[in-house]
Amino acid sequence: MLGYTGILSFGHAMFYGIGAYLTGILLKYAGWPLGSALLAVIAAAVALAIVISVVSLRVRGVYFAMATLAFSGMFFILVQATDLRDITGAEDGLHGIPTPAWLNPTEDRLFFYYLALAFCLVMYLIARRVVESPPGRVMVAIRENEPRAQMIGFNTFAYKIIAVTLASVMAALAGVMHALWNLNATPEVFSVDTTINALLMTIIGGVGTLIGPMLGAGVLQLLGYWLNEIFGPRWPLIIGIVYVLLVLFLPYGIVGTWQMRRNDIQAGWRRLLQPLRTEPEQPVARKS
Amino acid sequence: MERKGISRNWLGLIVLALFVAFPFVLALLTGQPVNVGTPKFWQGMVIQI
Repeated sequence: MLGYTGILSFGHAMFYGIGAYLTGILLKYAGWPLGSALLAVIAAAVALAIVISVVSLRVRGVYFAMATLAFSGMFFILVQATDLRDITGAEDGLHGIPTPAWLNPTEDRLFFYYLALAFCLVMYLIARRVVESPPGRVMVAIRENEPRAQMIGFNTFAYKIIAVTLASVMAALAGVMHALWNLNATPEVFSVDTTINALLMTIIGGVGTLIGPMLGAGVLQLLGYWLNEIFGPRWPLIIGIVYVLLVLFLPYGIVGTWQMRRNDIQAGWRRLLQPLRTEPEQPVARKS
Repeated sequence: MERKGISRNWLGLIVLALFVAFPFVLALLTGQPVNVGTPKFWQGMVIQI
């Protein structure tokens, strides 16, 4: 959404939270099977993404980001409302989400590990298929120059809705994985911190790449763990300094900077080897 | 066609193979079963990522 269509959203945690909460409510209170809950989450994410897109995509840039932040804040307040304590658990959140025995991450961690790996792979392949498809090219055109894409004849509004919907469904499915992994869903999943973390992962990994955010997630998670081990409760201060250094020295993210440097190195080698590859000129016979 | 796909994605396939083998490699290195102790902890870490 951000890297390929250029739409910055500050409310993506809302879809993540809806995925987690809806899974928890349907499994715990409605007694739905997991497959049906999964379909319900997808349907809810699609419906909500379309509604929010239609309303918010009328504005662009930071105004869209603010509008999505407002929607996310609305859900953040809603799940903490004491009126809904019986459904959402209010400030305490939903705990003890029942999962099938074969899916319990505590009992069979290895199975869940492979499930998460398969989920990640499927999401990556879907995203790659989309960005390499003709609609994906249009999304890049919107990012680069929206008026020009409109002048060519593309309905950019529809393409932006598709991008937001797709990203929202992915975030909601990640929320399902969150609920299945933690066996709970707390109001923090709707907080701005969740969105900021996702944005940091994308920026550190590399905006406009598919591998970048995954790499960024790995870097942040491992950095957080190791810095916590070394510095104890002061680790957020250190990680803040690391963020600043990463943004200063890797302005295009890890993958983006690596791709740029790789191209520079390849261009340098080409320039260096060019004289060897060109055939020597034939000497012209002089007329005496 | 398949060969072209493999040659294009060889790095990704290697990374995928490493992640598939990761729990068992860790179990081999630590001498602990796959679903206990250090291998279990690091599986959790990768899941969170």
